[in-house]
Amino acid sequence: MINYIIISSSGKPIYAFDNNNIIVYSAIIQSIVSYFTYSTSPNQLINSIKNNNSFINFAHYNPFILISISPINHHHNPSSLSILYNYLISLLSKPYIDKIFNKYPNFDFTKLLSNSDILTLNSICHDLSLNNNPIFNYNSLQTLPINYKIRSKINSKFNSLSTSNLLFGLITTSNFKLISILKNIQNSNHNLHISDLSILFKIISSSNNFKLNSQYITNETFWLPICLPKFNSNGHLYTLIQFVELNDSRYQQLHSISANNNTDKLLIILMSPFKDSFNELKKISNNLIKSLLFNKKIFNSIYNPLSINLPIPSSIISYTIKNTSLLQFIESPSNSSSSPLNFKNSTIIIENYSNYKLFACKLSNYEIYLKINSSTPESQLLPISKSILNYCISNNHHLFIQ
Amino acid sequence: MSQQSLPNKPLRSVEYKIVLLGESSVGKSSILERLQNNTFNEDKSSTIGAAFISKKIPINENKDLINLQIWDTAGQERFHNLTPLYYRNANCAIIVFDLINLDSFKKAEYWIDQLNNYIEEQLIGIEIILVGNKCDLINEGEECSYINIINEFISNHKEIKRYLQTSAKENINISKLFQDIIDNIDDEMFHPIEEENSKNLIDLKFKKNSYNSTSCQC
Ligand SMILES: Nc1nc2c(ncn2[C@@H]2O[C@H](COP(=O)(O)OP(=O)(O)OP(=O)(O)O)[C@@H](O)[C@H]2O)c(=O)[nH]1
Ligand SMILES: [Mg+2]
Repeated sequence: MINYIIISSSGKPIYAFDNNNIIVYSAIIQSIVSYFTYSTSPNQLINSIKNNNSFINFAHYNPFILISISPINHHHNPSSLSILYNYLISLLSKPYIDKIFNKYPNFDFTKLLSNSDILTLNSICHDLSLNNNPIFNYNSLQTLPINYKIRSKINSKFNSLSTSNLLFGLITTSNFKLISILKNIQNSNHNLHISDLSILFKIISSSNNFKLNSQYITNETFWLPICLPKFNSNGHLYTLIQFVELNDSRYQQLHSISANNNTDKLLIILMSPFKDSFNELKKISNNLIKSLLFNKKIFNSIYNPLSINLPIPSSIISYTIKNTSLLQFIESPSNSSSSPLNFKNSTIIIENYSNYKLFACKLSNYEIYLKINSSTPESQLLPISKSILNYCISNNHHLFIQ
Repeated sequence: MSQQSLPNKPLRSVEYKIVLLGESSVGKSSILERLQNNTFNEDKSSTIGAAFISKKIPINENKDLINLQIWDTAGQERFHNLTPLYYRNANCAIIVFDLINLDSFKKAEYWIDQLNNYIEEQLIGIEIILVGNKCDLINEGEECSYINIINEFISNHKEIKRYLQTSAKENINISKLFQDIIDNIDDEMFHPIEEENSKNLIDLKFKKNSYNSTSCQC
């Protein structure tokens, strides 16, 4: 397992994924880091130390020092520490954090963390150490395949409800498969970044705060201030979060469709720069929900999404296909999301494990990742990938959001 | 949450806004969970941001409809600068503290001060209800260890309309807390449901006549 440790620049412990010995660690780490800081250029210093059995990575993003300690040979996501740093910024924004630490260099940051925040940190570290979060691994969002005509109907409905105080909007499933996205910005310098959304998704899924997994139908709507560090690390966006239960027999009767139990919940996310725009956004959300639930075609397309019928032999255990120009991906239903292969400069990689192989290739603007039975001959892999590519090209508009 | 089929359409309605304030971990969200689902969760995560709940309650044989709009705020300090947003338009503030944690009572005093300042500035009325939660943790036959401090505070603060001891865990006084609020809503606050609004109400319903539900989740 990888351990992640966060301390303040002055050496105060903030967080440890495995929190045995954090006090001892933080003193040692702080002295190592100050050594590096004074010997090279300050700030955003990243360094690593290697010994016989572990790799220690440091990042000094003032006022935080972040460390990962991983076994040697472990596939380590190189963005891990910046993901954790961005999460800390998302809580309070950069200027606010700087202000506190400029005033009180010895500030105990744990005072500002609630148990929900610790759960989110644990969950991010868990994902990073097991490499099992595809959004982190592929830096892209998963989509819900929907007939493109219906999707554009949803998009235009969403657009028509938008107001000037709505900056971004997303409709996803409860496991964050994207159905529709709305960007209401003239200024294209600012954009919605995958890494910002990945933080928001972790916040929503990691505590029981948002009742994501509640068996009860709740009609709660959440209003969350969050700083999206890549979008703008200086300010907050105010985010309306609302879940909509789809597994309600009344909808099935209303639309005379059968229950496939495919998509259980919808998630509506609406973001505004203004803290008092809740009522406005809530109205948008209510109208949006009505138009999604009461239109048979739309409801059905979400409730029973298109199935992906890739032309693949049964020797393929699982797949992930990323559209690199849209930064979106789809994956097989049973995906164990193993660590992403690093292309470096190559376009094809094969790694052999005891009872399976990992294969990845870049074709056109797609990356295709396959987990296959060891017995599959390597000569078959490229032809299989090419037929996957053809499938994706001809179904691109259903699979991905343009 | 599901409501029975109701014989007639309500003629009058009121939107009544409630805000819950208090230190982190005193049980604000647990009280609301008890109200909504009649459940309790030992490992509840602390609220981040705030949660909005709306609950429609028909009264007077469905002649009147109360639409409770409840804000559950986060006790965590980093959200405090947003809290005025939630009590700004409130009709009623429920200030919650933990009966076995004196610090949480100090925080309750703080919120009552904040509310008083706001009420004075704006010349408006907010009903203030003080709630000591987790009474299940007080041994049978005993009192809260700082009962004197509470009593003195209450006698010095006439603006506190009611004081209740509750337990979200053991379901003590939770329904009474909200029933008292409902019973005390001023009759003058009700207004007739206009044609326009009742259309909206119908819009929210399922359209096929085989559905008796009076509300969907939105
Ligand atoms: N024994 C006991 N525990 C309670 C009671 N109410 C809540 N708790 C527990 O206290 C903890 C905090 O409860 P929450 O409802 O999350 O507290 P909160 O006031 O909403 O806290 P914040 O959201 O951080 O402001 C949880 O672990 C609950 O299970 C109660 O009546 N009795
Ligand atoms: Mg709470």
